[in-house]
Amino acid sequence: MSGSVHPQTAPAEGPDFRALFEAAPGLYLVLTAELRIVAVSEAYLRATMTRREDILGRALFEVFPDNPSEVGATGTRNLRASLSRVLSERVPDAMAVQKYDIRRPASEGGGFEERFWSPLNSPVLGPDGSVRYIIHRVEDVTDFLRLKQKGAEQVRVTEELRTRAEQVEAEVFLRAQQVQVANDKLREANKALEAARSRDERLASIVAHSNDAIVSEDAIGTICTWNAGAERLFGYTAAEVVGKPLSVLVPPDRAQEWPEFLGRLRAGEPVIRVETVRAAKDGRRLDVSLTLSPLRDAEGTFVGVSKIARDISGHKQAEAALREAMRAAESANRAKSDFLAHMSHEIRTPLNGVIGMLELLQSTALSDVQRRYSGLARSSAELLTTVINDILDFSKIEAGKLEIVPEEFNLHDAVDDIVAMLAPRAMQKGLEIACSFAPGVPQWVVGDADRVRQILMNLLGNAIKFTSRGSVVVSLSAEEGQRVRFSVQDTGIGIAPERISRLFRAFSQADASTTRMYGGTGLGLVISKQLVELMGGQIGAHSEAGRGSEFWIILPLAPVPDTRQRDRVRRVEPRTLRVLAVDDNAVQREILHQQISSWGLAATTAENGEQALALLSGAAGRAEPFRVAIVDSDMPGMDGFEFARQVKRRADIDTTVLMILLSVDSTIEPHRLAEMGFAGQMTKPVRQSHLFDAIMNAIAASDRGSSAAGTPAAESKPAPRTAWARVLIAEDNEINRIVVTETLSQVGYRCASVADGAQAVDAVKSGGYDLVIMDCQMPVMDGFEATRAIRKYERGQGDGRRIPIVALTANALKGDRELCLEAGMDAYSSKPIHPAHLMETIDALLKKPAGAGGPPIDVGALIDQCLRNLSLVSRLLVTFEEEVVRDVKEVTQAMESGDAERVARAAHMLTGAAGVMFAKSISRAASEVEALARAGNLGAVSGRLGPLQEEVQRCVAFLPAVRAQVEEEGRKGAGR
Amino acid sequence: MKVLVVDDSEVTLKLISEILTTAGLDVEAARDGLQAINRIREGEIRLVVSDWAMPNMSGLALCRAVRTEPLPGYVYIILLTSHATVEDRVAGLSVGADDFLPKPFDAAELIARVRAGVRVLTAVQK
Repeated sequence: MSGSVHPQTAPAEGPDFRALFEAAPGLYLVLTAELRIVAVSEAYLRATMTRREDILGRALFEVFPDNPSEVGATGTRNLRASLSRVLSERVPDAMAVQKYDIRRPASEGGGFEERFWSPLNSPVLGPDGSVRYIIHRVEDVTDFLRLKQKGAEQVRVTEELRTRAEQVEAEVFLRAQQVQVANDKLREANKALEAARSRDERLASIVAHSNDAIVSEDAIGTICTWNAGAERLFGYTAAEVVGKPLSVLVPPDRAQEWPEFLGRLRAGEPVIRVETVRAAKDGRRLDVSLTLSPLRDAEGTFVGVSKIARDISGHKQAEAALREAMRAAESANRAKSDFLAHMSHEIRTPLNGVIGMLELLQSTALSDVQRRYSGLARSSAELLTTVINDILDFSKIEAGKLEIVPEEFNLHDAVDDIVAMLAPRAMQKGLEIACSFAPGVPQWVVGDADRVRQILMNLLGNAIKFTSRGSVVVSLSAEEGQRVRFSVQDTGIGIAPERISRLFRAFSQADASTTRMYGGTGLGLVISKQLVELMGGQIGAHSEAGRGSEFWIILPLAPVPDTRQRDRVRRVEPRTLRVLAVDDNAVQREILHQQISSWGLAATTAENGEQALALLSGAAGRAEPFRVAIVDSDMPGMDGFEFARQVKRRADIDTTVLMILLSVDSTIEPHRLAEMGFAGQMTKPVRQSHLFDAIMNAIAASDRGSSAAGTPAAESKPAPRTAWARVLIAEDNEINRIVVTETLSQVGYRCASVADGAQAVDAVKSGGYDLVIMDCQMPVMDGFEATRAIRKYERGQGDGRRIPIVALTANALKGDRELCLEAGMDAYSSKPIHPAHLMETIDALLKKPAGAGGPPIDVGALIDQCLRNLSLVSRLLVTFEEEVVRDVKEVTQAMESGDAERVARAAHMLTGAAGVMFAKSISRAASEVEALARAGNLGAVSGRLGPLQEEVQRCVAFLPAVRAQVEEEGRKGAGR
Repeated sequence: MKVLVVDDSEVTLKLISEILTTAGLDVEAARDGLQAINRIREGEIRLVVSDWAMPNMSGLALCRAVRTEPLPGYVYIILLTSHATVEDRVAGLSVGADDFLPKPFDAAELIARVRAGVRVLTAVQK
């Protein structure tokens, strides 16, 4: 930048400083110390667009005020600060670049112009050192700054160019490297090629000498290579087959294989292994295993197949032989199983008939003696069933296949049952037989009840067999670790100690002469030992010849937890209830004492009638009378009957409740006993579980002043809650059919029966049943097939209904259960028919909502609806019964008279009443009828009338069960 | 406050009466609409639980009669019905029913609805 030359020329004499100053090519301003402008250069005037005459002599800031519109302007303030620094410090002060807005004169268009100035203020000092003037010099850097900005842009561009150049360089370097690597690779490839060449030679040698046939084929199946193994296997030389299609090797029936394999290999499958058949040159079929893999060229294009073929004819033959042997073994095994099952079926079928009929007999009104005999007959039949099972079990034990099945069972009852079952045998030999339970032996335990019974039966049977006089006593005591010790003691011939160890070995009774004398196989103890050990227990014996023996077992039998034990333990009367037991036999006396005490009653014993009478009198005199006296009927001297006569004759003791102990073969009529003054009777051996009830019943009978010697008729079986159901029984055996039908009918089920599976399927299809009891083995169509047919039919119906089916089978083999469930049955009950179990099973199935019809009334909901007011429920049930019977009759009559309106009205009543009573099925059927009748469609109603009537009948039949349930609720409520 | 239960089904009548009695209400029973309206005319009944379909006079007719007759106080009507379509409910409410309960009903709900009616009546009286 340069100032223009001033037009004035310099005078010749001495320079004109003012003119020089004013023409100086810079922006100069001279200020006084008061900051008045005293001189200014032309350049300054041009830059500030002012005229000299306008500014000379005027104050600087008056002439150049800040741009008032520029709020943040700092130029003036900075200048002022700089000038005052110069004034005070008297040194020049360079200011930073300032932005000034130069006021443009109005003639130039006014406004402001933005300039960037870099000012320097320098003092001009007077002779006294004070600041006389300040030279304000300004460098206008506006253009420079603008240029500088442009420069920055330039720099950026340059920078970018450089970066790109670097990138290019890097790329070039990379290329170079790649070239290097490529070269290296090339070298390596050459090396590999070299190596491959030698490897190929090795491979070729392996191929040539391999025992396997190694063949390669091109993509269209032409044989390309053929090794020695192939020559050996197929019989062709390489010359014969190379270049031929491989079809020469493929038997016609395998011709379709090649295209398939080829397709798979082309598709990328890396290897195919397969066993197939190929043809040899001489026409033999060869069993071979093939390993096929694709051959590809360097580009990966599929060019053929390499094939390794191995002769597996030997293999195949061995395998086939093995399979055949296995099949034979399996079929032999199956035949054995089938034979066992069949055998057991054949024996069980008549046995089931016996047991079932006995059961029915027992539910009729029988005399006491008849009941006892029929009961024993049944026990014996059941024992026989057990024996058959034992035979099966023994073979299972031998095969290591016996399973221990733990369940909850009543140990006391189980032992009592065995003793009772064997009592007749003991009695015949004049033996006392008894059992006792030490305190602490749990009533309900978890264990395999059948096996425990089996072992006990064996030990007890032996004891009776080898004892000719005296007694056989079973006693149970609790051992540590939830174990129970069973002891069977006899007063028999005994066994010499050295022979005891031989007892538990197969086929060795104590000595051979024993076998001759007492019979038996001697297997019993062996089976027992094995069973005990399977259950994790121990078995042992000790004895002295001539002094009797004790056989003991200790079995782990965990007690059923208390909560469940509780309701099974009878309440215990206070010790103030005093009981006197009179028996001449010391063992019997001791056992009675223990049994009575174990129920928490006060027991005293006497060994004859006279002693007993004295005790009774004495106690009465002390005002502590015996409430009950139990007396053995058969005693030397004063027998039980005479004792009773004496008691009844004496005023002080005639209120004693008398009970008599009879032997199992007693034939005295119950009413005769009552006449003699007995309030109760028991048969020896006394069952601990019955003793308490017998005593309590006798007291009750005595209080009523009537005889209870005759026990009530058939034990009344409580009707199951589901006794409304209609049951279809499919069973080919007539006896069994009768047993099941009678058993179920007795408690209220409505039964129908058919004799084969096909009939069962038809019956189910025609409807009207809630449950099917299905025998598995039936002619025409067996139970499995019938079940499958029923399930298929139900699926076809598509309404989600599924009738419960209970399988009934005599098969003892375990797999049967699975077979039944697999066929679509829901539960399983084995023969012989156990009514209680069967009814429980039926009951449980019908209570499930999945059952066909479900219970006609939701009793629980009804009770809740009545706010648990049970008497209201009972009253409603009465009204409801009247109402539904009346309404359904009304519907029927209205139908007969063809009055649709009346039908609808009556059906509506039914719908409503059934609705509030939670009799959903009636409500549903009735509302259908109502809707149809309202629509005037009486034709359709007549089709629905039958089901509605059926529902009402079903519901009415169900009402007793509802009442029973309501009563039960009441008892539960009272117990709370 | 006396509640009148109207139903031609003896079972339903007993059940409802008993439930309401248990809930502490003073309950009377009528077997059709005619019996009911006669009893209501006597002026003692303030709350009615009535079945819909009945011989002689239906629940609907009973509602209409109650609303058209000059009675000493407002009578609150709960209709019980197994026809529970929207149209039915609208028809019932428009002829004068105050509340609905579908059959079969739940005891607790019945009590609650009757108590709600009692509450409304008490509020109206105040």
